[in-house]
Amino acid sequence: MDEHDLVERSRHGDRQAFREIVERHQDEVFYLGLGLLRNRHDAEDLVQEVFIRAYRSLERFRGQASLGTWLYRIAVNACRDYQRRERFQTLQESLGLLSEPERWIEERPDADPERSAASTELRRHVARAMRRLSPAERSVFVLRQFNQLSIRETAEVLGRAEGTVKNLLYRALQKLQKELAVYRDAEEVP
Amino acid sequence: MSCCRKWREHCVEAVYGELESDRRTAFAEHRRSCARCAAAFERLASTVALLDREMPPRPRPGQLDAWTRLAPALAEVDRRTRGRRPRPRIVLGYPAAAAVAAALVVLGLGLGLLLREPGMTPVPGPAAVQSREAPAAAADVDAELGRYLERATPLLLAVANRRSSGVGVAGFDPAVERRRAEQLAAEASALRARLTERGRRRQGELVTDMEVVFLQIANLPEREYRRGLEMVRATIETQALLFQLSVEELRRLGAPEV
Repeated sequence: MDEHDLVERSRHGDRQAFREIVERHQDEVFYLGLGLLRNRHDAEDLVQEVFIRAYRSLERFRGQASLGTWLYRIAVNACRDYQRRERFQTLQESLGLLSEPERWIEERPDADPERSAASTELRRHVARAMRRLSPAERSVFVLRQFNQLSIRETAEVLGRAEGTVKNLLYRALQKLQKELAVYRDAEEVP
Repeated sequence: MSCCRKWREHCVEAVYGELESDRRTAFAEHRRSCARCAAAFERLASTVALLDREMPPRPRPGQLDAWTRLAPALAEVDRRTRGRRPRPRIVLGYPAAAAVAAALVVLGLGLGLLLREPGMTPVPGPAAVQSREAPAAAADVDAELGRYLERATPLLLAVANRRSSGVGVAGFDPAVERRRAEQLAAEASALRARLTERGRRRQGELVTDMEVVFLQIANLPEREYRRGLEMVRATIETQALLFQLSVEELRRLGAPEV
């Protein structure tokens, strides 16, 4: 069923239609949350928050942007609010970081245990490097790199000019490149 | 090494394969003549390739089941929406509405005159702080904030400028710094409570950000102190704290709003 039909039916109280919307978009919202909040548990909470906000605001969805873009926009705003509320929790988390790995790092099954350990270490390093990004750089980076939106779509979600998004993305990549230089250079050695 | 400023946008688009063909050709030609852009592009491209390979795993299809938790929450939203009684609307004709409005204005003026203290003259508030604070109280808060920033800024600058490689490390005592940070965090907490007036939102956020940084410093473990400061510096950087401080200083010196 077409997404606009789903929205229309949801507006008229069709719970199954809204369930269909949730099932189509929950993975992307979750993955965005994983990138921005770096925590599986928080990302799951974010999914709930986003769809509750969307449900309450269905009347305001005018269909000018796609449903996905609209949901991403709600998700980015919800993350911002969440981070503001959880500033002190983040502080605790960051102090814990000194000895514990980032919580979104999960072991990926790999035939080669050595390779698996190296990969986990690298992802841990990526997560730490992402802490160096400003909130705006991180939003742009996560939407482009994690959710694989185009630069134009990223600009649409964030309500920024494309040029601004490109500059933020460039700065984010530069910072990450510096942080990950050791791994990249090691790979380039034959 | 970074790209020439003019080619940065091309570079980032090229790295993600989003550069249209004519611009792609132009950028490729430029890279042949500019070693700096060529090297920067190679580095960014290999970083993105590395990141592509090492993204955290996406949820498997069907792995997430948001609906089970969501359904009762939506039912609650519906219940609350239904439970909200619409306010009865009183529809007045134009003459009746005008009469009610006039009566309310007269009543307001009367109450104002009645409650006004004898000899009291209205004092215009400072334009910069659009708040309901009395001018004397506003000046107090401003002075307190000024004194706090004067005491707190040196520690922030010391941390921001110190390098774990050794530069600026000599002559500092972690225990003293931690105690100082603890004290400044407590002061920030008290001051924050006074910055809730309209027009002081930015100052409140600045003091909150400083409180977070000082709490971080105060809680750094002894053996991880230098390493932990890296993280504190990252917070200072991502919150643009030094920039916020400069803006606040300019504001206090009477510069126009930034």
